[in-house]
Amino acid sequence: MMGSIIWLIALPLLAAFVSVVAQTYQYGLLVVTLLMNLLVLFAAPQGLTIIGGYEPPFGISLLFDQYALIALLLIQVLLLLIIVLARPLAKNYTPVILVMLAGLNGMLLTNDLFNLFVMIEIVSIAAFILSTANGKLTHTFHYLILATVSGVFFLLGTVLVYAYTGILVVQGLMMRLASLPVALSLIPMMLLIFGMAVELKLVPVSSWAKNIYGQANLLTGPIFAAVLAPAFGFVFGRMMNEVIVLHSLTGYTLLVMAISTFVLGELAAYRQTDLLKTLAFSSIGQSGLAVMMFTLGAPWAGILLLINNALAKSILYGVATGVTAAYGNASMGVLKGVFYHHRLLGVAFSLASLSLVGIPLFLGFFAKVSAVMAIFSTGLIWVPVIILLTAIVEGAYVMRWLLQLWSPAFEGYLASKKELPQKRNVFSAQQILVVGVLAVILFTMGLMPQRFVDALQKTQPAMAQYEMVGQGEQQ
Amino acid sequence: MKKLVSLFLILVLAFFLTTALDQGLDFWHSPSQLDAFRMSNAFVQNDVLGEGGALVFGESKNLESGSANIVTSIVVDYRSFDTLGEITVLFLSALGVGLLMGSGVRTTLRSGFILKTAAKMVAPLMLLTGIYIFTHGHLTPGGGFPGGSMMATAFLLHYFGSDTVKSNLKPLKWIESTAGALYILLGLAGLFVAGSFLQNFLPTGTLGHLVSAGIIPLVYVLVGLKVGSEVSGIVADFSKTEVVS
Repeated sequence: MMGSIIWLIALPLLAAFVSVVAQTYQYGLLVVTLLMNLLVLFAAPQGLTIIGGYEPPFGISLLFDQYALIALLLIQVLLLLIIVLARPLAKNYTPVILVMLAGLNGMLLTNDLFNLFVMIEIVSIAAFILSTANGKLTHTFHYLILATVSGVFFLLGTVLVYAYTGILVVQGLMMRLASLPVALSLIPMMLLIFGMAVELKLVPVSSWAKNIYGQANLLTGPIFAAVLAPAFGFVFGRMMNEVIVLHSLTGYTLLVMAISTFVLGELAAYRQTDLLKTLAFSSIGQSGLAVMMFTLGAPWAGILLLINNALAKSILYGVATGVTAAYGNASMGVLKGVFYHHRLLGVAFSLASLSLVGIPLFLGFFAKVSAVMAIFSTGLIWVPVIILLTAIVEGAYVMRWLLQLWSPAFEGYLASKKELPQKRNVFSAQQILVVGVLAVILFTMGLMPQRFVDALQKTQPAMAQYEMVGQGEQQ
Repeated sequence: MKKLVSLFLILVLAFFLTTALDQGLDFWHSPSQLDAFRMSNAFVQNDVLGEGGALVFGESKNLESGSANIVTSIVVDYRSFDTLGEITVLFLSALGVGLLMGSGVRTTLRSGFILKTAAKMVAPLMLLTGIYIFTHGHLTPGGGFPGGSMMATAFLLHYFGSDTVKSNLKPLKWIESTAGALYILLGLAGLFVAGSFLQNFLPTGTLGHLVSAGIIPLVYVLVGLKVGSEVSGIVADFSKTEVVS
């Protein structure tokens, strides 16, 4: 009972309802809830948890397997570190973050398609509210309209799936859908894919992300890029594995959307002279890459990319929004040489960006090699070529930013003469510690990726159908 | 041109959806004539666990769900977890309105004599009807959401009919918070007593009686109070003039 996985949803919800009237203790409740959730994650047995006493397909159930464990662990740890990093901002939005946490956990655990829609709805509304913290209500409105319309598509897709198959259970739904005539299953599959496209930031519906991510603050930046983005990525991975049947039309549509998101996102990131906008377009591009992996049947590469991207982006956004707030602007001219004053943050930022690009010795390298190897095995030779060419673009802009941010050239000269620019306070010691912890986690994973992957795979009945990519070479 | 393209896209989507829905949904047959293997049949027959038996109003006892209203059986028993999700959606929306508008300045309306007098007489009746609707959710059409909304409408009418609305909304917050927390605790009680979250652990009584259907009436009372206080809170927040830069 005490070790039931349902606590991951019940506890944050209970805390959210209580926090409305216990405003003094809100923040403490959030921290305690996240810590308890971590305990539950390690105590709960894996398997199917029934809700309401009715077994599937009649009742709703939660599926807690290795895949869900990886995603949930990542989300709880990152969210905990982010709310410590952005404590003053997080205090204003505690009930929203608590409900979002319940929704995220529900989204990753649920084994029911309609319940998944409800959970996505909860997370989306929480995201709308959080995005108002950026202070740009028109951007929030734009995001709200896009995400709501896509939510309707997802709901219609769910309705059609239920109408054709008579069940809503996620596990094994693909088998039922695959037995339908193509003409029938095509429309619901398209609707489900478009229903997720907005949150996955896929072209042509990714325009909201450049605004929301590009104007982010210390709370919204890391939460959107390191918590919401991987969560939706993991849900998409589950959908691709259990629900979505790819016909040639749906498959190619999805692949074209994913590849154009990746290429256009990275090219747009290259053109930016604003640090937050660069990171925004990079997030869009990386989301396209992860979707590509899940679409091409290489989930392990997708999982590794999501984990690498989440950890890297939490550091990148943490540092970038921190220095932007302190120096008043995210443009290259203003931030040039900023790490001359903030070397620890600079080191963490550099580690994260090198891992993002996929330089050897970092987790990103392992993720990208897995991705390229996986796609070679599918026979689509031109896709790895696109990935490698785009990775060069990515490397180019990351290196340019690192050089600019570290460059002590003129500013260094001035600073050494104590003239200009003034050093400003970016983070407290506690916040620097959080960034440091994130950097250490990312770096350690990069040092021993194989051990990390083995640990993830150790108790994995439900992951058996996933093929470990690049296994032969690494072991 | 842009509008024409949009119109074309909408028409294409509408065509596909109507054809898809027409093939997928059976509008023309009664539930009993539908495919026997559809899971909705088991919901309609109140027979998911396969313990079976005829459904006779006022006679059948100890059914698995026990609600005379099939929709309520599905919403608050078979798929109660979704309902918990939906009240969370409303909770979040109220929070969002509160965060955006809560800091605004309250506007005062000037209402006429007729509205003032009528509001005093009608609002309590509406409140009573709202309470009736959510306490009878397991017997008649209605339930927590419509009942709660009706209570909030009574609040709105009261607001229109009085020059001064108390700015202290603390009690509403307390009701909202307590009802939400009690719903979760009821679910957890199911986990500890019966074995799974939100599972019914009370006797379901006789079909059609007010005291029947296990925890369903309790859940609907909580949902009704929560929805009522939340929507009232939204009404109160919207009565403020927004101050946005």
